Amino acid sequence: MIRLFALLVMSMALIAGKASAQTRADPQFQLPGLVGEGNTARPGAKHRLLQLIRDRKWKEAASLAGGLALSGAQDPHLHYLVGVVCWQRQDKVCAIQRFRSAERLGLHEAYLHKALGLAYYDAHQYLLFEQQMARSIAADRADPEPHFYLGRHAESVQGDFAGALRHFKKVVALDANHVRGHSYLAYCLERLDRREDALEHYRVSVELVKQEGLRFSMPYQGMARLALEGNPATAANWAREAVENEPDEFEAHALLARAHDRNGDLMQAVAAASEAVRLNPDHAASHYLLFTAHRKLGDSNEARRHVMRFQELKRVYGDQ
Amino acid sequence: MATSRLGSSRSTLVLLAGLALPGPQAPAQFGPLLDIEGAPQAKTQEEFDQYLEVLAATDARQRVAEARDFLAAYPESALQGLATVYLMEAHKDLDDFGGVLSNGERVLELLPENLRALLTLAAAIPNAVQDATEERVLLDRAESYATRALAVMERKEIPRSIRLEEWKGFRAGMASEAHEALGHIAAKRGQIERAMGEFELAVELNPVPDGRQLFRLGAAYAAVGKVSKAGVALRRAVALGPELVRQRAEQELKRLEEPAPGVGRP
Repeated sequence: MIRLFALLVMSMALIAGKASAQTRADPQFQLPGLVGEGNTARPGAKHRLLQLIRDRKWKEAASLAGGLALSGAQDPHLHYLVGVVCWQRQDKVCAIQRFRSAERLGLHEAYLHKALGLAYYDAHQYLLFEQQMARSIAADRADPEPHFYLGRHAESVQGDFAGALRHFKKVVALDANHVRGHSYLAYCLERLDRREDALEHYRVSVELVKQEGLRFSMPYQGMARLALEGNPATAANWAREAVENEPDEFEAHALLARAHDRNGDLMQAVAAASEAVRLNPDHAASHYLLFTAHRKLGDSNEARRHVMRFQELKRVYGDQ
Repeated sequence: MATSRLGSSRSTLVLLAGLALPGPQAPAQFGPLLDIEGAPQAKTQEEFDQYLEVLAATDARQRVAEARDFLAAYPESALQGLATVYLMEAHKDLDDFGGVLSNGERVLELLPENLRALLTLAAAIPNAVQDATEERVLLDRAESYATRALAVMERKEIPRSIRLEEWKGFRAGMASEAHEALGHIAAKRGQIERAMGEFELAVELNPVPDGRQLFRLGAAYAAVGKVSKAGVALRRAVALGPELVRQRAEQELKRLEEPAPGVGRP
């Protein structure tokens, strides 16, 4: 039996639907424990490769992987490890091919299916991604991650919030402390206009973020959005917490700008929205807010500059 | 008079029209794979395995073979269009005009707005036209591809995963290619003023200075007697290369600097 341990070997943009750190996931490509060398051309190569990956010595790992004669190698773990190295080197085709070789050679562990599924996802092959996640679930029913990835796919690419909700419920059922699971569950509830339920899960997520000291502002942003209509002062407080938690997250600044705008504090709204567009020059909503705020403040040049940028963004991206 | 030092404008037109050099490459997967929601989906892992063999091919001949195998094995695949783009590009690398034309037009049947195919065809056709009887028809077709490409890139909505500034750079590069093709087509038709205007646009739009475009612009200036501008463009072409461009630009500069027959001689 292979002993598994998790190692974060890369950070991958799982979902590119809404450009934000909140829509990214950091999947953990897991590594197999040390098992027999198998039928490799270079004895000891797999152990060395595994160690280099653990140590994140990617250059050396790539050099070793490149020198392996894989065509005749029958050890699926070796193929898997080379796939991880390929991924790290941004050679996505090689990564999928190596993961597939591992699968064909009989590796059917959950981690292989997750890695292959995420690699398919990156190639926008969603049918194959879903198949692999289903296989990962079948191989390890206690693992919440495949449900999480399926949920992210459903809400961000398919816009299927009800479908995503089912996946995220499964995530938190399997792991009650799954911070992102609670946050995305709340987000789906929010989009389905179940505000009270959404609030509950955002609160759970905020508590978990605090307990674990995480940098993850999504639940604070959710609390701010839910307060925005009826209580913009409270919304501004939550948005400030979001900014404190993740100062580089443009959506947190954009939300703070909206809260200030609702409170009628135009100068603060301009400051926050300016920070949002500094972090993400393509954030159309913040450009629009800057247009309206500058117009009210009587700065027609700045207002014109931002409305032109807003119109350009709308023309290029449509209503995405 | 300046033109007398330049030789006939006809010889410059031949030079302009005959310079077939490899053009810039847009990102290989530019197209549907960047469209997150509309990306064509493989139905099986085996289908995608074989598609990846096309991408993984290490040279043009191997890529042609892999693409043909894929297209034959999966005639109903949603990835047929993209595989055919790779096949077209591989034929281009092999200087096989027939392959570029047939596969480029096949791409446009499957993916009517594929910019890579539109631009490749617009650039390749004027390079390859030899038969005078077919010239008019082929150049008209090339022109329609270039103008279609410009229209498509103007209205194209792009996924948010591409930053606006990044897209502007891509778009400017592609528009530059389209104007270069239009200039080449005009030169083939003997419309040197129009060719010059298109080459000027191509050079102006391109975010990355391109030796071939500067050579073509310099040759067009030379053809209409704009010696000083011709010299500037040609010297930039010499500096930028590649080698074939450098040689041609140096030859053209030499011709520019030669005294006209009868001038300066007793």
